[in-house]
Amino acid sequence: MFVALTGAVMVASGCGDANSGGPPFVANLVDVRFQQRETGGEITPEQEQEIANILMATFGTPDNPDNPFPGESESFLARAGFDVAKLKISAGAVHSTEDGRNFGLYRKHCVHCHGITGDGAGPTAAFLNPYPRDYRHGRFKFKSTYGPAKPTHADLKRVLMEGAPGTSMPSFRLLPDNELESLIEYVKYLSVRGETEARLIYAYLTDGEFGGMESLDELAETVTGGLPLTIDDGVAEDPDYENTVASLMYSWYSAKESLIKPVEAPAIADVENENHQQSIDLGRELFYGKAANCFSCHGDSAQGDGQASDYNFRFQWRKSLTGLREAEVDKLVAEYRHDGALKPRHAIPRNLRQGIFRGGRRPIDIYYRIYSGINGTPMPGLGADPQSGASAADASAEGEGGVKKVTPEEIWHLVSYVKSLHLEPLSKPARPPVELGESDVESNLGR
Amino acid sequence: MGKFWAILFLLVPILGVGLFVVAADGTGWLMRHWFPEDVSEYGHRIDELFMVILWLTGAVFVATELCLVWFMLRYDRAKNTEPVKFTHGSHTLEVVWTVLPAATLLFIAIYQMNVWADTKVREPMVPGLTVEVTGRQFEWRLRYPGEDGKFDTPDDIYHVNDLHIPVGEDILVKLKSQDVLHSFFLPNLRVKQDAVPGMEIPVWFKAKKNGAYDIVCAELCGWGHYKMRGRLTVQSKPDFEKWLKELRVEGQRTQSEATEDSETEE
Repeated sequence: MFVALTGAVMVASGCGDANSGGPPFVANLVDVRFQQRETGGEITPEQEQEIANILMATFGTPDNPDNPFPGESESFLARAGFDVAKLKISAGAVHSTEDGRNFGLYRKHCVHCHGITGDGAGPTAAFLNPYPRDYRHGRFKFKSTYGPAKPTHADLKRVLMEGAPGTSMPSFRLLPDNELESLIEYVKYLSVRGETEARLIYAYLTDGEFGGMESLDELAETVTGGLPLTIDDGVAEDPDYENTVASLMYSWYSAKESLIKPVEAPAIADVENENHQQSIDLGRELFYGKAANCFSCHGDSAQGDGQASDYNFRFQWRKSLTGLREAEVDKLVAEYRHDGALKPRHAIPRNLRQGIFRGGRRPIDIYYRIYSGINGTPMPGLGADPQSGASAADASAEGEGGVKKVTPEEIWHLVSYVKSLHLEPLSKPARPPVELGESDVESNLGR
Repeated sequence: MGKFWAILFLLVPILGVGLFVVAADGTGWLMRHWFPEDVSEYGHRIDELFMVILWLTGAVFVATELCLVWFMLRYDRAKNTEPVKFTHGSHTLEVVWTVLPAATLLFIAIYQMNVWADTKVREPMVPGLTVEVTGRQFEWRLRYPGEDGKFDTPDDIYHVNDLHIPVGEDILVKLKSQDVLHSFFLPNLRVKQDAVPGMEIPVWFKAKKNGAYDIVCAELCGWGHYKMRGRLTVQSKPDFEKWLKELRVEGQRTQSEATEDSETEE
């Protein structure tokens, strides 16, 4: 009788086959609401279900990231360029085989913060500051590529190896290499899936062209394009726009072309050079100068208290609510949170006096941050797009004559200054604070 | 009935002692359930102290259990039909069974003083390498002092989870915590020290044998406490210097990694 009871409990708790159980991906209701507001359109529940079906057919489930419907259809993901074998190591329930191979890595290490769908809203996310990354926007902060380009493979690997100091993202350095590779592939998979979902939502709101397909295969075919990337000669073809998944994979693959190529660091920028203090002094002048304008956000004492404008919000959907009356904003925020959004927070400039650099503390890391800015935050970049030569500084120029742009070489001096800040006690600065000129007084004081 | 229970209770000291004997043997089915390998210079003193206390308490335990069993058999209800007699107690007995345990405990307290002092209080005269270990949820952040040998200078070397030390040298760890209580536990070096937020606590040890060993967190610090592992690598001095140099050079990198190797995408 005892055995029967145990057996009944086991069956009831759901040890069925792989396809029958497991958590599902969560629909991006926040984006639905946001895009509905932006476009003025509306998505019907049937259309929401269609979107879910397309995503299921293409990307599978958390337990089975490939072909959830057994049959003869080819693997869409493999066609689009994913390494499905790696995905299968990270996907599914946590278990290991007798020879010691681990599976379910994403659920073992990542899901409680980053969520089953990679939405950065897992069970522990609400308690964290900063919030975990939401992969579904395809925006990553700490990378060596310029502007909105995707991070390279090495960038993602670095985040896993080093963690992000000052955040709750730990280092996974001690995991075996094949497990790290599998997790990186899975993060890309979640990111592509998330961006595909956003594009599908937009497509339904604007054309609604996807409706009326006969079979799920047809739906998925349209989304993935059915064309493999030809990468034998090292260069992928840029697929047509309608091939959503393929074009997203292309953006990942071609991230290397947006790699920032740093200029050679001047000799004094080396911390072991005897004249390194000169580099720090140059950096200090630039920091408080109009060309780089760092102090306007990071503050007169670089403690991150300098914002001259309204607080920026982290979430796009919250930003779009500025300008409304407070009661209206509160009501809308409550609706978004009901859809799964986390409590909105301000994007606050970094306190540079703490010596904690989330994206890495090597000089090259800080160079990347200053050169390209930080994607998804108000931190602007000072460097030029390595592909086109257009400069971010051009776009944001205030039209004041005589403002010299910051050269890439001078960025190294800024790096020296920023790296020296945490070793300089605030109460006893190395030199008196830089005297701000009269023309700066109006814009900075009395804010 | 009394006999049945008496024999059952007798199994406790028999099986208990038997378990220890089999485990300590290290070759039977219970192997690897005794001490982890000790590769430290000073750790053997802790192991020796452990054994002294184990024998002492083991002897007391067996004696107490045998007393219990004897009482159960001697005063079994089936065999004793006389009514219970009440006494006013025996003063001598009470003094004896207070003084003896107190003396035993006092003995242990004094016996262990030197072990505690040598491993926790008396810092080594000339520490070799000094490294700062900061526990944070849920990793071990490391900082080597760099070429100038001083902390809080621009040439400090930062790392995470992967502590390397040279073999045969006194190592001084400055233990800190960034958020909550952690505990820096090196099982193979018999080192365990709580990392208290706001304090910098010196911990020292010397490793005798090359290899990779565990760093484990031994104070509940949150949901990730169970996986707050690090790796201690003990290597020869030249290997260590080489590794540290690579880390230092990488920490001052001013060139893009992409120029070196080509990445293999999917």
